[in-house]
Amino acid sequence: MEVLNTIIFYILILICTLCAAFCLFQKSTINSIAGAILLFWGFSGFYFLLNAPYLGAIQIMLWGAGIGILMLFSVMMTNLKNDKKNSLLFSLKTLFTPVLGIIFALLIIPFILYQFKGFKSIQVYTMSDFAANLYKNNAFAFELTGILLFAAILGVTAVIVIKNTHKQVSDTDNTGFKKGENV
Amino acid sequence: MFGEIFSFINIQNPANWLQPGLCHYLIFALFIFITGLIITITSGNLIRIIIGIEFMINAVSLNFVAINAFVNENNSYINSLTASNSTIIQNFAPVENLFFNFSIPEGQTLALFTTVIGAINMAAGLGLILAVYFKFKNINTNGLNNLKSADCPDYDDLNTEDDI
Amino acid sequence: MDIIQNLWMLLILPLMAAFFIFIPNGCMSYPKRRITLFLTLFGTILSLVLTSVCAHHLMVHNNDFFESNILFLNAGVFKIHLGVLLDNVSAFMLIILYAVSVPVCAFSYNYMKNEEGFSRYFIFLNLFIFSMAGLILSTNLIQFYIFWELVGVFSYLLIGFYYKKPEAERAARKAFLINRIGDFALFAAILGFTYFAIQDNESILYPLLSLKDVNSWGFLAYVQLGALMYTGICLLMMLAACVKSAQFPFQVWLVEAMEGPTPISALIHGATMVTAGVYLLIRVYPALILSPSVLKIISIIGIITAVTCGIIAISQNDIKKILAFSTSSQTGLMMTALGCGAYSGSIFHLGMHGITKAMMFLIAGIVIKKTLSSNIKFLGGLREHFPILAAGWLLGALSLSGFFFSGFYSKEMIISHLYSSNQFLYLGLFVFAGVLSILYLFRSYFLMFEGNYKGSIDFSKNEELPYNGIDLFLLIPSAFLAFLSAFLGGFLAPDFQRYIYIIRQKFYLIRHPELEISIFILAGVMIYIMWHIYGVRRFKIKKIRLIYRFIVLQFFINKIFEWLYKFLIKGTAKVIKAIDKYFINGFYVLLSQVARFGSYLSLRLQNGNLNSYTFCSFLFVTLILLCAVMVYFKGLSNYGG
Repeated sequence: MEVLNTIIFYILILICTLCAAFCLFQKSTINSIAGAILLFWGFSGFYFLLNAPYLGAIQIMLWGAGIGILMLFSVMMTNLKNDKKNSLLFSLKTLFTPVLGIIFALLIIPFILYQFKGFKSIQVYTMSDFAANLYKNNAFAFELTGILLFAAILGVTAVIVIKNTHKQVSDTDNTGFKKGENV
Repeated sequence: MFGEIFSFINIQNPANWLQPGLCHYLIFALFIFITGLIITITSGNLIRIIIGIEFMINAVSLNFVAINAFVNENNSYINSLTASNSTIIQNFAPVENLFFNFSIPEGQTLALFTTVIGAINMAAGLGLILAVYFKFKNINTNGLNNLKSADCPDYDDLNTEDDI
Repeated sequence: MDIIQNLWMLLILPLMAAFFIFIPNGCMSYPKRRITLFLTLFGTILSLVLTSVCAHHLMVHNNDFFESNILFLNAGVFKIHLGVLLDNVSAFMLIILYAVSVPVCAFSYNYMKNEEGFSRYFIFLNLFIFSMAGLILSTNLIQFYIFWELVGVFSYLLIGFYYKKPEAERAARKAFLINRIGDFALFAAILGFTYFAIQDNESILYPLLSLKDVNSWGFLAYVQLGALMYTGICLLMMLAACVKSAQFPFQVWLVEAMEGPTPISALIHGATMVTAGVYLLIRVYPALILSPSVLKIISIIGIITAVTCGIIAISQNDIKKILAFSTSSQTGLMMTALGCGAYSGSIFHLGMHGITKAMMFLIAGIVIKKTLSSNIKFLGGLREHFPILAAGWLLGALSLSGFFFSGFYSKEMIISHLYSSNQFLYLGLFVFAGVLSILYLFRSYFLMFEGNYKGSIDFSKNEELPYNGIDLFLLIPSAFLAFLSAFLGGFLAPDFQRYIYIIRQKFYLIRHPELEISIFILAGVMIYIMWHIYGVRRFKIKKIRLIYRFIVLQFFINKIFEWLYKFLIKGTAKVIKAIDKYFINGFYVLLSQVARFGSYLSLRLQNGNLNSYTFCSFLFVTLILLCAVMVYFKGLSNYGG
């Protein structure tokens, strides 16, 4: 059982790394979106390994069907064309960013782990534990998140509708664009 | 402090190093976090920025869940806030009674909320992207430089002919 | 006597005159010439009368003196007094000052009548007389120094009166700068003496460094310093006196100061300012006696100056320059007399020389005004046109040479002292200097007033005018001074050595007829020779060109002073300017450049680029986190966490 755990863990790591690299070095946005979705599905595999089945399922549904469609629609609505080249990827910033990220993590993680005494092997949680925690201890947060989601959906819809009705008026308005070539 | 994180690795048997422990998950999450950070910082495209942000959110969720999986809740501070560690209940509530003796996966809950908030964030971001599109007719970070100061020295290595 | 109680008036009268001249001339649109003259003459004549009365009183009561001080600066042990000290010496000097000032002021009225700086001239003149009076009447060495510097300032303003001429401006600056050397020396000497005098001065009966009681502080300094250092300080004072009195090698400023108006040359450089140096030495004589060799050095420098300036004066062709060198030479003789112990003779010669020299300057002024040239080579035969001037010049020449009139009495006092004290070297050189003075004075007389007129001005219509066309205002002052020069010597000489004496002087009552007769014969021979060379032109003298040039260039002293000025003063100014510009200013330039560079670096961050802003925000969040972590862990280690 441990061996299977290990094997699946490393396969998942491989898949996720390849997807991340794919997403990073793509020129077109649609391809990087596709890579991102595959990565998130891989993450859900990790959640299954970590005894969080509910979270894994949500991960698959949300990211694939929800967020992916959202991004696709945004790409369609903004007439996104193919990119030419991402020269910023190989500049000094990207060389320095991993170092920065590692420093950031090293600064934060020990604070969190310092609160805990003792680590052991993987704890087994059941779905009922999760549900009980969600509805008993974090009920307020749960409800609030729902309201927030609702408000966000409403707001985005409103923005799109109102902007669409004003689209003809502001079609000829093109201000403040200094360095681009495309109108 | 760092010894406690790596203490579960059995040093005598190197084969045991391959077994995934907390450390492996944390390092992987860090890697994904850095990737998301790079995508956010080096993208000339507004949608790609949001993709990077989602990367980072996912990495953080993985962190939460991994720590939650490996922490001993019997000694944890958070668990001591609930009644499951008091001696009275331990005397009167046997281990099999799930009502008094359930484990609390706070990490998963937090990961759930994080994901949902990330989705909301992305929705709001897409609304902003549409507003920017309606104003500039394209999505490119080159045009959003109203905050540039008047005395800023100009360079040539900013991406000028890159992503649209 | 009531006058003695109100002595401050002597000091303040010229100052008040200057102030009251300023008011009408400054406030009204045209200068009030007559009011100016009236105020000036009122001030000076009244002062002259007062001084004469005081001097007579002091002569009658021989040991009387009057001193009154006010406390000017009180710093605990160090106190500065300002006051008025009238004793025999200062009364005599004051009489000379006012006796010369009254004719000079009257002369200036006509001489400066058409100048545009009339009121400015008279204000400066009055202020100069005030500062000279303050110097003569000063009670202590510090007040003396204050007025010494004031005299220098006003002489600078008066020499550079025609400031639009570059030569005048240069001459004034040269005079002032060279006098600064003397000021510095005198200040250093005052500092030295103050250091020793101040320790014993708790009960203030006398002012600090009192000039009435020189013995006390001189002796204190001598005891504590030792002979060598004390000689050094006294040499500083001697240096100050030499610079002010235009001794060798500092006579250059006096020669160039002839750029000023002629009445100023009469007052300043004939009678008063150049005698300030000798007056200093006269006042501090009891202190100079203590040092064994200072008096010798004073007389050496004096006799060197007398001989050198006399030689140079023979070769000069400008009237005023001859008189300038003559002044240096005679002042050198005064210093020699002082150094050899002829104290009263030196003072008497000071007075008589002042009056005579002033008269000669005034006559030179009239000549310059009438013939419009100051070079004696272009003059000649003025005796037919202006016999009065010829008579006056001859009188002055005879008096200055020391053979008739008052110059005889003053020189005789000194020569008899030298003869009686067996200082034959100084006697011989003194007589030689007298011979030189005959040479240059009579050369100038014969070239100017005998022979044929070589100029181009027509004097024929002058002969019908009264006094040959010389204005009364120009003539009467010169006549007054001529009268004084002729008869004052004989009037004062018999009582003088009783009037002013000093204890160590022993030989004052002896007269030596054989000496006098031999000097008369020598003088007569010299005058005859001069008459034949320049008057009758029987002999001609060839100029040895090399020596002539050497003498004319005043032994290249001018070049040395110019080099010093350029090198020290201008060089120092350049160095300091460079330090200020590059080092001190450069520090602030560096600060501003640092700020500019910092702003340049920071502005590079504000490029409006979204990616850059993202990166920077993440970077700074990390940095803040780092600081928080460091603080947290520092706190942990403090409490053993």
